[in-house]
Amino acid sequence: MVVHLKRYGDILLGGLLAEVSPELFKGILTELLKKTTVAEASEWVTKDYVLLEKVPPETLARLKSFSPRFGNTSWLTAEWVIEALRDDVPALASLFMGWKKGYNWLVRQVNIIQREIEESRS
Amino acid sequence: MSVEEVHVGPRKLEIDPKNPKEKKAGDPGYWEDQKVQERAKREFIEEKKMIENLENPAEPTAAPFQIKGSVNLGDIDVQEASRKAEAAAAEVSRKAEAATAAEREASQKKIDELTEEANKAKAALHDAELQRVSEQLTGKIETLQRAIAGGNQKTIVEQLSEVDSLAGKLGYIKPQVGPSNGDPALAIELKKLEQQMAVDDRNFQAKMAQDGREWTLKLRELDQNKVIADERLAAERDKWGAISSIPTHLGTAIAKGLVQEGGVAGGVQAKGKKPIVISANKGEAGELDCPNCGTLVAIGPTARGAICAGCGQQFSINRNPSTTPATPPATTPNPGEGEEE
Repeated sequence: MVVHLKRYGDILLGGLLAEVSPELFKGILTELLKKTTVAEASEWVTKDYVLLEKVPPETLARLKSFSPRFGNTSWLTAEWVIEALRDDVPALASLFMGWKKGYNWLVRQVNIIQREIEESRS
Repeated sequence: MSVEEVHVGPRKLEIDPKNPKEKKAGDPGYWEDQKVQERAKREFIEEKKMIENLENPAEPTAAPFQIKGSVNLGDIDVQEASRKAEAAAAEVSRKAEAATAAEREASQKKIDELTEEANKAKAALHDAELQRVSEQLTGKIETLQRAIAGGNQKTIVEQLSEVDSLAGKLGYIKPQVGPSNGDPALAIELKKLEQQMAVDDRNFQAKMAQDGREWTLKLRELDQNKVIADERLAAERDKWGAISSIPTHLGTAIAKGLVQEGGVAGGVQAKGKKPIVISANKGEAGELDCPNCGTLVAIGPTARGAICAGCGQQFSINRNPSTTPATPPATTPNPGEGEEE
């Protein structure tokens, strides 16, 4: 009975996580970049920093533990990130929208994140 | 050899050299000799008379007078007398037993009465003791309550000092107790009592302080428990709020997706707007407020254009090539970035 409950709980949690993963990602992204200034973001772009390295290790570990449950992450694109940032951090969103170099850097970071998720699944 | 008695002096045989017949009155031992002779003569006469009486017994002489008559003492029945004596003894015994029983009964009654009285007295004493203990406890509780209610409650010593001071002001003189003006033992006892009172007072104050500290700690503990409970409640509320808001988030996401598919996003809306031309030095980065919506617009160091994230207003940047770049270029060139350069 307990095993069944745990299984149902896992299924429910996995389903919920798969459903809410975009919102979850959006919240994490917004929280990470909320205090980032345009100058800092420009420096990340010009020096080609890896965004995941800016994530605190404990948050990164938690994300990796959740990532197998994220389900399909095809929604995770540079456009989605810009759209996610548009409401809360419009300056950064405009930086990536209007600056081609910045947009390309964002695409690279999204690809890196996608790869990390895929690796954690496998 | 004969043994001589050393404790008794040696006997001396004194032989009167003079013949008793030749002695005269006045000579030593004359009367002693006469007495011996007379005694011997009397004894001789008596002996002679007794021999004569034995040889010729005389007829008994008639008494000079004679009392005649008789006294009848009655018949004495010993058995009857014994029976009567036994009956009397039995009667006396019965009366004694009855009296003893009555006395015992009276004593028992008296004992019962006394016992009952003692029980009553004991009960009364018990009640009085209970009453006294109750009053003492009530007094202590009231004192504690007063002490708790008013933290500046005066101690017994302070109250005594105040009473002394007031009595002094009213003209009453406190008798000096001490070795010079009283019994030293009494003074010592009074000192002991004062010290005991001071110790008791100090203990009481310490106990009160400890109770106060414990009470404060208890209150803090309760406060902490309340805070913890509130935090748990808030966490539970947040958790359930987050869970309950999942459909809302999903709905929002779906709505946004629909909006994106329909092409009504802010950026798309402004596609038809005429770009605003701004000039900047080469390598200059910065921010500006969108003249349409006031949203902050960021400009990259090598950007040729910018788009407002709020309304989609486009900006065209004219770089002045004469100035040096403020931000150094990227260490590794990435594909697609050379277009802006």
